Amino acid sequence: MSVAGLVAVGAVAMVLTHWLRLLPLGFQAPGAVRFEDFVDLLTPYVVLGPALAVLARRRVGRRSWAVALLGSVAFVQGHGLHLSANSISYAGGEAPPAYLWDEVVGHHLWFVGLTVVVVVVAQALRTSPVPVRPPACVLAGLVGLTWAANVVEGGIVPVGAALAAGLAVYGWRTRRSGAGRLLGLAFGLSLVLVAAYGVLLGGYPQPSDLGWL
Amino acid sequence: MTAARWTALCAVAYNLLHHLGALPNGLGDAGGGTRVVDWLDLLTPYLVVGTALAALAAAETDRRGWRTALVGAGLYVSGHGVHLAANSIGNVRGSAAPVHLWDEVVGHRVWYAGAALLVVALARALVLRVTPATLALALATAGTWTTNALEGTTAVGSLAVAVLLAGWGARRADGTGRLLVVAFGTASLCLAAYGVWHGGFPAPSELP
Repeated sequence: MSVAGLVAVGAVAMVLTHWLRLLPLGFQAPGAVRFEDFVDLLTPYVVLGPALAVLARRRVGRRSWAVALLGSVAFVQGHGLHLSANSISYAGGEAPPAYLWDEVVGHHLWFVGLTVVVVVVAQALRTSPVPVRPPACVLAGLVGLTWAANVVEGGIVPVGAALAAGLAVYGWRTRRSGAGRLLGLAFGLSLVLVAAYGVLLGGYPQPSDLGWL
Repeated sequence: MTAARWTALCAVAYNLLHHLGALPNGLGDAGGGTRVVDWLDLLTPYLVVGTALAALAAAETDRRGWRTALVGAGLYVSGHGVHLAANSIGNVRGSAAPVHLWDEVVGHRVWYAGAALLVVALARALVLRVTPATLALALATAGTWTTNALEGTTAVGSLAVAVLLAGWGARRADGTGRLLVVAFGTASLCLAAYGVWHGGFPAPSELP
């Protein structure tokens, strides 16, 4: 598969797995858990697998690998903490320390890790021809929407918006490459969406608390 | 630093950090319903997986070795995270469903499967010497593998993996093979003896 194809697969995986909570599966799996909790165990592999494959194809140096793997560990760790704490909260409520591990520690580690991996991949793609075609723009838009929804629903708006701002700036600074333009589009859009949500609702109530998810 | 030294550091980290749960009362309350060891335990994946991957980089392992190690690292970190949160919540709320499922069933199995794959990746790539220090680390690893299997309720699966790793080590004619036999042969014997003695694998903490 081409490098652009791997990037597309990683982006599709990120979008799909980060909307798993919308699946109408509910409490059907054994042990008072939802089927999507078990599906969610695959998230780190399907998101990070293509990202790390891109780095292997681009033959990045040891430093890039070290940073990407550090980000990957933070992503997987944060995701694991969130997964079990969220599942337990769903069955028995958010009493301490479930909320802490799910929303505070889990989400922050997860999204900081994802940001680190995205930065390393974007750096690796600076000199690689990633075509900016309508499907790629749509995918970038979906990534931006997913990021915005996740930071609002995940209760990490300040950090999530700051990370998106950093990625949007990085995309702008590397706009000569296709990857830079797509990065700018995705995370610029997510910033706009988060800002619009805050203005329209006068703050950041979680969409699930409003009955939207 | 050499691959052998990174591996030794990895073994030290594994043996120390996989016994954090044994610290008395989790070193006390850390606020928000958590204990101090919960926060220390957040470092476990970085120290164990980080040193393992550094050893593989120093040994210049091949593509297959990296694939094995990265899948193992993913399982290790994911399972550990799932376990850590569920265990911490379980300390406050008890092990009502689905706490036990995520902590003991999914968390431990995924975590230890990842540890086994990391051992495979390291053993493929490294040629270690048998010295008093490496023997001591191999024996400590046997102890940790055994106690984790028993307390983590993964005894049958962990025994099977230990037998396979020891068998692989026995077929190799090098220092790494001998250390595999010492670590996982000893773990196999300890687990088997415990199982025969108790007529099963009750967790040590639950014994009268």
